[in-house]
Amino acid sequence: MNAVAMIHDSAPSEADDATLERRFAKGDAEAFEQVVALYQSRVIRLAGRLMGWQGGAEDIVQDVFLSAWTKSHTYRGDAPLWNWLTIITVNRCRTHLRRKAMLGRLTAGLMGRSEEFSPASDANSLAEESNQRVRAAMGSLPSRDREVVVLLYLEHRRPSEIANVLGISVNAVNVRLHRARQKLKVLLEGADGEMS
Amino acid sequence: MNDEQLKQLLCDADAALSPPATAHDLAKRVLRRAQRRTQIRSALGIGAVLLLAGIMTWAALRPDVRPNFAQRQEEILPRHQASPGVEAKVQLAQLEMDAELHQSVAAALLQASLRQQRAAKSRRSFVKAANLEASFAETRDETAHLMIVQADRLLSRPDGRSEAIATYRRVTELFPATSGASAARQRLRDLRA
Repeated sequence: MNAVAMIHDSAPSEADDATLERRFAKGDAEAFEQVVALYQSRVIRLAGRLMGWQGGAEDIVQDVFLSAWTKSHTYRGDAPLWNWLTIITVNRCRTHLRRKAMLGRLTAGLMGRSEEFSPASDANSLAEESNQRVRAAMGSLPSRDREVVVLLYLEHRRPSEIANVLGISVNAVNVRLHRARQKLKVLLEGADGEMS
Repeated sequence: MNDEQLKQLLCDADAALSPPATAHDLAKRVLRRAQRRTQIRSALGIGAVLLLAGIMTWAALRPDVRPNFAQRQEEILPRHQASPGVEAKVQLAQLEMDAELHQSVAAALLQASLRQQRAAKSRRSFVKAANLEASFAETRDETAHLMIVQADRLLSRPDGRSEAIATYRRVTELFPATSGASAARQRLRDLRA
């Protein structure tokens, strides 16, 4: 089952969604529990993708829902709840990555070595190795470029929606997307060349 | 590599991962964490208020480190009192001030006494002058009377009439306000008649 199918399976009907959103915005704890149950897997998946599949998504999910609960009164209902949660997730991932980078620099300074992203050594099949190279290439992208790629290719958002979520213009989205594609192509085609 | 191939690679790499494990009690954990955070914030707020109140109370009740004027006097005066020379000087200055005061009072009293003496002397002189005037008037009356008596004796002589008239006239001229002058004027009128 791919990601799109999972999203559609777990998505509630529009009427239920609107009622749930209203109750959630009023601070209803039961509605919050339902929101968590509905969107937990999507948030985990999105956080994992935004983090470049490097782990730590589970830690972020709790922070995302904590922020959502404490700021539920700010949810106006003029956009789907999933959009609102996406914005929170993107922001929490950025914060987490910033902290991680800072900690990495500090650790590298103390230990005298830098943390490098490398594919797993026990990859046997070609497909798995290819997947690991793709993940490594995504992990090597700057987080802002990776956000655009994830939202476009894996979350299937339109550029206008991405611009709305990230708070930037559509042109900026296209620029980031073009830059990310170029880097990914260079990384992946180079890897293909090495493999062949 | 075109855009579709890139998309397919990304989707394959994403789908190859095992589905994320979901926690059934995530909502409850988040709610507990939110409640704990609220409690911590409330406690911090109350603590901050109490700390502020404590600081303000301490600031209000602490003894003033700056000595006020009376305290400074108390601090300075004992140091001066501890020195006998300074104490003697202070006493001497006080005695001098007392002596000056007494002296000025005595001078004022003396001047008042002198003024009284002068006034008494003036009064005595006045009385004396008054007495002198009275005695002078008495003498004048006696003299005028004696002159009238002498003129009366002259009138009794045969050639003494003109001399008697002259004497009567002299009495009226010399002692006009006396009873002798009145008598002399009466005698002159009688002689003319």
